[in-house]
Amino acid sequence: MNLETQQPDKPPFLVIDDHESVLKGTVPALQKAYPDAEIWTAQNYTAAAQQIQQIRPHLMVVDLSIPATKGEPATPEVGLKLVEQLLTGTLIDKQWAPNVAVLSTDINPLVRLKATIKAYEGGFAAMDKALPLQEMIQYINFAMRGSVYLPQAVKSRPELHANWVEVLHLRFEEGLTDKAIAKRMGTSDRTIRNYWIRIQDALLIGDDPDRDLRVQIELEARRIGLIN
Amino acid sequence: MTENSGPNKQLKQQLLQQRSETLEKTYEAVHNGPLQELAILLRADANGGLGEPLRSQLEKINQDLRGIYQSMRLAIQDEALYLESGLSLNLDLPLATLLHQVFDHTLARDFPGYDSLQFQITPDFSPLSTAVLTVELKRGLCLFLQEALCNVGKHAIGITRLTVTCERQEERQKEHQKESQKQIYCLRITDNGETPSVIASLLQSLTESPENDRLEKHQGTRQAQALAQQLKGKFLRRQNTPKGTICEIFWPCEPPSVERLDQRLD
Repeated sequence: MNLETQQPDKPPFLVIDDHESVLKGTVPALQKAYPDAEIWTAQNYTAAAQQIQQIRPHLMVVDLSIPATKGEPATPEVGLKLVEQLLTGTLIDKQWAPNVAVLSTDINPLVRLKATIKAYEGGFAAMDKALPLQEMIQYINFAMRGSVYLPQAVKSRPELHANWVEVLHLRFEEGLTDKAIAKRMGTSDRTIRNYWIRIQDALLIGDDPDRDLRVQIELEARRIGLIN
Repeated sequence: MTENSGPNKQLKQQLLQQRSETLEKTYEAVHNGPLQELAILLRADANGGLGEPLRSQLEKINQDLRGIYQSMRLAIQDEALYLESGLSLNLDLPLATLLHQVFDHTLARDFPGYDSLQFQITPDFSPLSTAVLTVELKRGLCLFLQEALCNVGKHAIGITRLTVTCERQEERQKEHQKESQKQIYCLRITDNGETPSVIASLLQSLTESPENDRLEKHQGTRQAQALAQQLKGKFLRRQNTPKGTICEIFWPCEPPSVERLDQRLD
């Protein structure tokens, strides 16, 4: 059992923030959007690290500015460390990689992790803490479907991770199945599924029941020179 | 004795350290107080009950409060790198963050070479996270990346792919008839465009013969070679196959010496 196959009735969520007032806003909004979810909270790094192991959350909502332990001052470095450990699989095994939503008054420190975020097994969204709750939930939905959302100043051209380009190459130039692609790239089926969602989002291809999604992706990828 | 040596230097560093600590504490207070309150206020106003002028004013206060911290930090440390269009980078940040900022900022510029580029690939600068570098070398690497990307933007024609790769790799060495291996860092910028032959041969000759008089004419190449020298590494510009240019800088991943560690701990 892992996040590949596990579909519990009550998916566990873990919300980490040291401000009681914020938790009081985030948790009910999250519960309303995901009525089945079982929502847990933690107010510092140590408590969060323990809970991650115990409850194996499907989603983690992390405020970057948190204290290391109870009573210590909250700093963004602590939250950043937590996020980095999640992304690199040092806090929890990669097969349990939760979807992650990061909230902060300053998300710029995440820039250096951009490539790691895009290659991550789970979905990921980073957003300004001042966003209205409704908008926050929209970005969390992004993470929940396995995609990646990072705010960009100007969205000029699609930006893809090298691994996503590799998926396109293996599928459309070598004709491999998703299972074979996962094996070749040494990753899980879930990761490859999520990469496809991220490619679709990056290329701005909408869901259309009359069109085959993979063919749409192939056409667009050829048009812009991602594959030959 | 110059201003930058001996007790004067130590005093200056102490002063900078104190200022920096004061600033950090101030920011912490602002971050955990007013900025959090503002975030809660703005969020509570999801339905726009505050009304437009008030909401934008609050948003502006939110931005301004953060802006003050950034500019104060740069002002006291004098460790900033100023790029075109008013972007200033704080060289105190990790190298990977800085290189990402340079990459994003430069690719957003309006160069003819970028017109045909319809996607970009997120570079992974994390292999450089173990590199121990002075502020000056970080500045040099940022400028190197910027220069290489600008060259592509200014000179390359019809590029469809531009990749920036970063590696920590093994390099085989032959010394006194003994083969050894050492770890090196590499930062590489590759494009698949066509460079007009006149420019290509000029750039090539500059790379191959550093003493060449014409070197003066191309500051970017000279800077890259100077940077490579400071890093005890090398700079190369070569042809990509079938088309395009590869621009790369290598340097050894030596563990920091005792002397260098002392400097860092000062």
